[in-house]
Amino acid sequence: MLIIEDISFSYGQKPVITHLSTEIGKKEFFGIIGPNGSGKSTLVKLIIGILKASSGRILIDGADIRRMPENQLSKEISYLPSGFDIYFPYTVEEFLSMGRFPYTGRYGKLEHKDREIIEAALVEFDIKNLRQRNLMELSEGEQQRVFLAQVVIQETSWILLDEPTSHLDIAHSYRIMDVLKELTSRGITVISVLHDLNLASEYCTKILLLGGGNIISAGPPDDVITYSNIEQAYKTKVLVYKNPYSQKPHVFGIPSSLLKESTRL
Amino acid sequence: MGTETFGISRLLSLSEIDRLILFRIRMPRVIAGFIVGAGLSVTGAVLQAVLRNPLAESYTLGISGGASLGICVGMLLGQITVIPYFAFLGAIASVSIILLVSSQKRFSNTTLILLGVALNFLFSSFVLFILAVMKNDRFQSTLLWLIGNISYFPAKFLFPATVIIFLISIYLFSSGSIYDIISIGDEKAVSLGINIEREKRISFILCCIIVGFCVSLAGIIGFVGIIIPHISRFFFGSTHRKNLPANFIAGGSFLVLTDTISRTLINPVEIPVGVITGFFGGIFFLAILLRSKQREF
Repeated sequence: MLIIEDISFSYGQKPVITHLSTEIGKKEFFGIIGPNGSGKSTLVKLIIGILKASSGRILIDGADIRRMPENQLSKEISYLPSGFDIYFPYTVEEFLSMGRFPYTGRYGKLEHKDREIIEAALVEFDIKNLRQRNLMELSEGEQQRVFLAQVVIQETSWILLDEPTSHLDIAHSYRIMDVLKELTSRGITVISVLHDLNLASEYCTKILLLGGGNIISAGPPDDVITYSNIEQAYKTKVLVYKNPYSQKPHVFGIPSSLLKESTRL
Repeated sequence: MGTETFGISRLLSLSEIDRLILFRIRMPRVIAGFIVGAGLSVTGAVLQAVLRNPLAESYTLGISGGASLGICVGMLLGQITVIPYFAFLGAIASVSIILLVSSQKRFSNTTLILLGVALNFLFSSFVLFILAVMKNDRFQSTLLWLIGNISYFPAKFLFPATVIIFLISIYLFSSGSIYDIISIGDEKAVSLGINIEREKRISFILCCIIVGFCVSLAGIIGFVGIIIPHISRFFFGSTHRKNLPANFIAGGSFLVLTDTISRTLINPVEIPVGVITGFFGGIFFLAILLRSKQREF
């Protein structure tokens, strides 16, 4: 169980998150949605310890993340940032090996077990044929699979992702989400910031809708993805219908030229 | 100094003078050339990883310039032995300026290098000012030393510089995995359990010590710290555990070679080695700049 207890954070004078509390259960596929600047990425960075909350605390299985040695936290939670700027031509295999760092110690020497874990991930993410390729030269879909494989290689029970599908087309996006869902069935908890409300609705077991630094709604997709919640958070008119195939709520935007004057927000 | 040719037969029966030339002048110069080339290349590779900037090195960041100003201040005080300390302090000063400004202004990679170049100009004008005011007979030799020349260093620096640069380099080699991870991003490094502030601080201080000694021995030698890391990466891959030792050896050999060229190219005139590395390095630097995909200006 991951418990976020009354945390606040501000960049300088500007408060980003104010007195936010929530709980994330094991094996959950937990989506964090909300408009730009609502504090989604900040919340994730607070959990991973990149940013320090000005008040409140975050507990993982009862342990305060601030009191944990950094090496311990890296065995509990792994993190995929929203963007990577790679300046040096690492091969896929070299890049994946870095994911074992929490276990190899300072010198980064890989043991037999580490190599087995890397091999398994190469197969699982269908990147075995890319292992000697330069990471910078891969397509975005391939890169994202490599990044995700590195996170899985870290062997943590919690995985945090910041918009893992943001550069991907619909096919690649669904593929990545399938992989993440599969991870939850293995007992891993996935916590992901998602831009695409419909993807969140299709895959997440629980969704946190942020707006103005606090929670507007939290719960299963059917409770959170409602037109009133979305309109309140995003300040725009939407329609919500169910996907006939999955029965999950889907959000449709409406061009403002089609709206009558009275219904515009 | 000068140019003295040694044949095999002469090597086998060395006269007193020959011995002096070989062991007191040539050998220290080769050792100094090697350790300076090695030090500049290793620090270049480390700075590139830590700053995530393929154009970074002690010269382009203005660290060498800071060290040379430190040396001048040290010379004003008249104590030869304190020079490496002052070089170190000068290097630390310029790193601090760079880190302070870049953290407040969120500079792009290219802008950071521009800042380094500006610092270099600033420091070198201070250096010239001090040298001009000093008005002593050492003006020309000091100038020749500081513009990159492996024949003007005080002999007693050589041993401590060699030992310290070697030991620090070993430590940096052993931290190779950490530099791999830091080079893919701060956030990722934190999530992999690296104390990024501490590692960066240690790296900068160690690089400044090395650069301080390098500049104390050979003045400002530019671009070695860019050329060699790029070549090493090409041949030995990007992981720092492999390419840092490669940088050490390749950088050392490279500078010994260019120093030999500088001594023998226009016989009997000695060209400062900094001129040779600057020439090739400048072309290399331009090539990287033109080839890079980022449009940051």
